[in-house]
Amino acid sequence: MISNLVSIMPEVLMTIFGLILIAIDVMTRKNSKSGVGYFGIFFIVLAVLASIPVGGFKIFGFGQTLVWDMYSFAFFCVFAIAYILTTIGSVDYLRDRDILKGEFYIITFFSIVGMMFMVSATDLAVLYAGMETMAISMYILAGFEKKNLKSNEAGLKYFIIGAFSSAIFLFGLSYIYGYTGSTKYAEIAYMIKSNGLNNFNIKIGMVMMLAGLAFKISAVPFHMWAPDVYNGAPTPATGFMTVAPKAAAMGAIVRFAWVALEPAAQQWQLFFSILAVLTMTYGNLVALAQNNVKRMLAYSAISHAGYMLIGVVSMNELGYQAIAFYTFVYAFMNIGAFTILSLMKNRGIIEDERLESFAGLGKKYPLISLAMLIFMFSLAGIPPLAGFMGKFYIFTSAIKSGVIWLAIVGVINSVIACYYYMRVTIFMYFKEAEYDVTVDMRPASFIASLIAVIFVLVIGVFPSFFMDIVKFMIV
Amino acid sequence: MMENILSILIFFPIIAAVFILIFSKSGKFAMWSAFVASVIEFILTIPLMTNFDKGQAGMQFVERYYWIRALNVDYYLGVDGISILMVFLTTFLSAIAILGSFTYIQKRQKEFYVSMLVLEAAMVGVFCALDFFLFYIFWEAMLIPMYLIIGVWGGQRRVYAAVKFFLYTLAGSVFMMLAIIALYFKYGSMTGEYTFDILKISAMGARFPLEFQIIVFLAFFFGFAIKVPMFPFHTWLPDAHVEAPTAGSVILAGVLLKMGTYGFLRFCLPITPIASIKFVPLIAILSVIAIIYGGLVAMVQEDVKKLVAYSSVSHMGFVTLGIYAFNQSGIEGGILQMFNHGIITGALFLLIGLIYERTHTRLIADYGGIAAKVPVYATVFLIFTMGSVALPSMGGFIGEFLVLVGAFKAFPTYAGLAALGVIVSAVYMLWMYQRVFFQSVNPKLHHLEDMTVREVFYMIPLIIVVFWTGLYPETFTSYMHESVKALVEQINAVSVAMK
Repeated sequence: MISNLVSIMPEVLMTIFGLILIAIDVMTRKNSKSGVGYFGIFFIVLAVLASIPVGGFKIFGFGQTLVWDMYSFAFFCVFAIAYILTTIGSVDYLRDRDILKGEFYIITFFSIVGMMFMVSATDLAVLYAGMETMAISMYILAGFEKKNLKSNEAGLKYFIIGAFSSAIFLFGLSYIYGYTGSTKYAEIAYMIKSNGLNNFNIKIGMVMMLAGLAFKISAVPFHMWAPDVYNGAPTPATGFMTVAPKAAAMGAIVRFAWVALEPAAQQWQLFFSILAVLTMTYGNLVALAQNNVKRMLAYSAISHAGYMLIGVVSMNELGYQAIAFYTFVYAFMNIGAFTILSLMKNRGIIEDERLESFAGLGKKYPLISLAMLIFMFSLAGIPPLAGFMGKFYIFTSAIKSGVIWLAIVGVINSVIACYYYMRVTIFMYFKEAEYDVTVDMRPASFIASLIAVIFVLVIGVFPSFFMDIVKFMIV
Repeated sequence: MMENILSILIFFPIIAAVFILIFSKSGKFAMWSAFVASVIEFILTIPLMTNFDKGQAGMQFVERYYWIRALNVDYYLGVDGISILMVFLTTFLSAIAILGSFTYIQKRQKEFYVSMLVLEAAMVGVFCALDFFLFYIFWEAMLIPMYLIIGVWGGQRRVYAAVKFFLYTLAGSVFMMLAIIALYFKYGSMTGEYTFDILKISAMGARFPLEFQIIVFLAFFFGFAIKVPMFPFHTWLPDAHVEAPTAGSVILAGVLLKMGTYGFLRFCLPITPIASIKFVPLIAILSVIAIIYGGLVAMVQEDVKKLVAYSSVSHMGFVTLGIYAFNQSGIEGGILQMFNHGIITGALFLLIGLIYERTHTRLIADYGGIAAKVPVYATVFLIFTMGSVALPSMGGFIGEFLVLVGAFKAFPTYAGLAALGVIVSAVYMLWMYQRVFFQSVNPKLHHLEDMTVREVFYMIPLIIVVFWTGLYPETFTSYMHESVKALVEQINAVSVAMK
């Protein structure tokens, strides 16, 4: 009984806090809705502090359907970081577009509850419930800017394809249940161990289920929704959507692969490595051709999912640690980049986020450009920035498990990727301004990008703190 | 202080850069404080040189602290007889390059000097790092400031050149990264100790299996050959050199190219000795091609800067040839040639830069007969032309001579071909000198002004060093005798065992 409560305590805590947030939203005046977000930050920090598992802590609940351990906690930290940065960074953007509503922060907050369930689930039904909670929140976030057609389109598109992928996931789940007689990871593993994976039905089930998850991390060929949704959604929401749900789905895949597929791990290597290669390569090649930075970052988000998948392919502990570490790093650099992107205002005839808007920015706004330069080179994986540490960790895991060819594909991809990140810096520093662009840096966004810059630099030089968080996690 | 001297050398420029970034309000202030910082940095290397024990082959001034425990990465620094000369070259050329940029850099001076100082810190770091991870960080970190230096302050096609430089180098080094990770696990599985310690891994070198050595060697080779640059990988160099501002070219030619050959010495030879021996013919052929081909291409250039850039390809060929001779004189000659090439080519780029500031052209055809107009300039230029041609009594001569002596012992045919390169270099340098300084005077250049006091001031140390290495090279070679000896013995032991 106690263990049930303890295992679900963080989620319960988050739900209660979420409900309090709704109450706070009702009580705040229309023009101070950002307060809801700040309360959210306070609550999420409280929740994180209250749910730190002590070393080696691993507690199952509700008949092994849910677990709270260092692994869940590490991912919870990623979600919390994404929430904090997005909240602070979004205030100015939302206010400018007159969509500064408490719901933005509340929905993001509740989506995190879903993500926590995804990562701590050891049962497919729980995983599905968490995934839906997250996904529905994301549909709303994507369409949050209701007077903008593109945002509406993003919401609708995301909803339709998301519902589709959920259905595929459920369909696969039914096959697995039919074959193994259980939805619990441990029992699925047991069945696979004793009966092998050679049954056609379970293979179909697995592939469909994993495809459903692959939708969530926007892995190629399940990525079709991603560019449009990321492009159409309000920019801060995109920052959040490229980081937190991806981390959650990654966490879920890793736990599923590590616990349920463990007896047949080797057989799944090929499946995941094909997914990884396609995702990296496609994301990067298409990103090369983009002239809109937001869209470019959307494709780059796809390719980053590919790098993370290398960690899954590695099928060793180092790989899982690498994925968790990578999501930390990615949260800081990607949300940082999106925060700056959300502040760009082009008074010319082209869209705010076009590459040309960045022309000559280095001269006009040296500090903002420097921050953007740091984010871009970090995303490209150039040391001594955090992105490099993440990639290094990923490639280390791949080489450790002997999939050297995949590591080679990975590094070639990161060289290709480097070019499109560099294009932003080329425009910022090497070109003269073409349009009248203003970057209105107000305190909130300034703090958000400053935090992101500091962490990108600090993790790059002293990664030990975050590496220790992921090092002690046991799946 | 002496026990932390290497850290001080690495972090002092960074602190200075941050100081300039925060406090500098005017370009002039940034310029002078960067110059003062780089001079202090150079002065700091003098106690390093004087306190260095030349009788020892091993690492000195070692510093070691835990850094990333999860991966057993240490902050581990040290210098031996080979790297200490490179550190000296770096701080020496950086100070001169900064002084040489005072009038050349007219826009966004603050950012320029910050980039230069950060670059200097990373370069010193590359030569001092004894941990693979740390080495790789410095190696890559160098790219960002250099990319900005070429891209912001460069010439017409600067964006193209900067991107090409960046991507080429990155492509080479990511494979090196994979090789480093592979070494980490191989060493770990062989000894049970997972470490990025370069010295420990080097000591194991001979015991790595052959196929593994070949793969690692090729990965390293790819990274270093691009940096040197060796023959088929050299195409980034003319673009980067020509488009970079003067200081950028000086640092590129003077220090960055040396990192490739330094990498061969520090990593390929000790860590993959068997593969290195197996690949000697390949490297020797590529070196000879670089020497001759680089020289011939230099001969037909119309742009002086491009000519010097291609001459770098040729001169660096001598370095790789010397290193792969695997004997004392070859390797010492190679290192000395690295040093001399840094000084001489750096000086030539500075000279080209300062005349370009006056005339805004670098085409040989636009000059002619200026020796009478600018006698001091012509004299200084002649000194370094002769240095580049390897005239006896100049540094270049000793280096190339030792390389050829070493190469003749190891592979007489290639050495013979390489010797032709010396003649080729005389042809293109002297012909260029003749067309620029003699013959009929171009009427547009009647008002050409001679070198200013500042310009003479920064050329003097270069002139002193180039004669010093030419007349008494022992000052510099004495540092490397023991380290090179240890390296040669290690390689010889392997090659004896192979037979």
